[in-house]
Amino acid sequence: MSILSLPDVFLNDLMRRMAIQDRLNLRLTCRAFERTVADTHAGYFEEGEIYVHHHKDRNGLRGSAYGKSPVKIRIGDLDIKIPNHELYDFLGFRTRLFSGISFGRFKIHVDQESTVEFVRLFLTNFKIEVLDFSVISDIVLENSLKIMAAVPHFPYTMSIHPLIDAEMLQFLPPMEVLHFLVE
Amino acid sequence: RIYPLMRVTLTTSDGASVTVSRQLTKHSGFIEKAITDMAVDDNAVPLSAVAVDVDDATLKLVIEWLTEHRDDALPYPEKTDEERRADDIPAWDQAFVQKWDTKEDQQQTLYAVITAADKLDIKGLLDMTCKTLANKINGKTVEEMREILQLECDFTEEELAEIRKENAWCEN
Repeated sequence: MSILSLPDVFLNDLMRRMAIQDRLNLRLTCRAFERTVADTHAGYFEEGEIYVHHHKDRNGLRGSAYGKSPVKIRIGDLDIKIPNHELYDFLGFRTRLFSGISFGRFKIHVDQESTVEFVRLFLTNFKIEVLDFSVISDIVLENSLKIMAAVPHFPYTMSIHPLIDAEMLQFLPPMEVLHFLVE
Repeated sequence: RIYPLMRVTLTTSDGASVTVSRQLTKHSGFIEKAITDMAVDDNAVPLSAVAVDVDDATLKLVIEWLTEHRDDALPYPEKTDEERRADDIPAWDQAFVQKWDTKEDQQQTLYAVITAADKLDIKGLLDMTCKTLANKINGKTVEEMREILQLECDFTEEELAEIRKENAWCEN
């Protein structure tokens, strides 16, 4: 008897308990397990994050903290850095790493408009209890609003830096928590 | 209503018969359904008649586990979406699985028990065996995983290189 002949309900449960690093190794074991990794849910992680902080914004805040790897993704305790020119290749890889994933809280910070569509596509088949936006500039707020419009089914929370243009706040959708940071 | 003193005769795929207390079989959704829904004479549940491939040796292991867990609360708690831990296997269950290490093919025994737990709908046993297998795999190298899971690598070197190249995104 092979592990791959075990009931689907068992394999699905097993794969939900695997760390991402274990999924990476399992897809290298054989063709059948490579397919199993792609076809199964990755389970629940308390925290995840997409962090894109590339250009200096109009408020003069500091630029990229990640040099040539401006898109940083965190799943649990795993950090992933993706060069800008490989973002859409990475989306293909993501579909081969799991079919779905759940998060308690997923933080988003995107200061680069060209990355908004990537974020929307990346979050496909995600289940997120709270999508948490950290807004430190007008550009980040604009991008956050675009992402909210693209994934309207998630509950949101937001932390806003005091330098944000107050007029922009009228465009905010309803959300669970809106937190104003004080200087 | 479950009558704990009622005896139930189970017939395995290889023709053996085992009589057990209803106190044990109440943990098997399949057997309870068979007793409740099917026309069962003399409380006998012929497993093979409903195409459940559970042999005598595997059923004895299942009954051993059921005997230890006869007083577990029912219904078994529904899994939540957050459930991913595998480090909470009771000590008796750990020893129960360790005991298989002395057998010639422990992995085949584990797979047989998993299959039986699924067919008989014994959620607690299925959950425990899932955690056991997860613990065996977690943190292992590719080679160790192949050895534990008895898998043959059927990739070409080029295919392996391509997968490693993709995996590298997560390993920087």
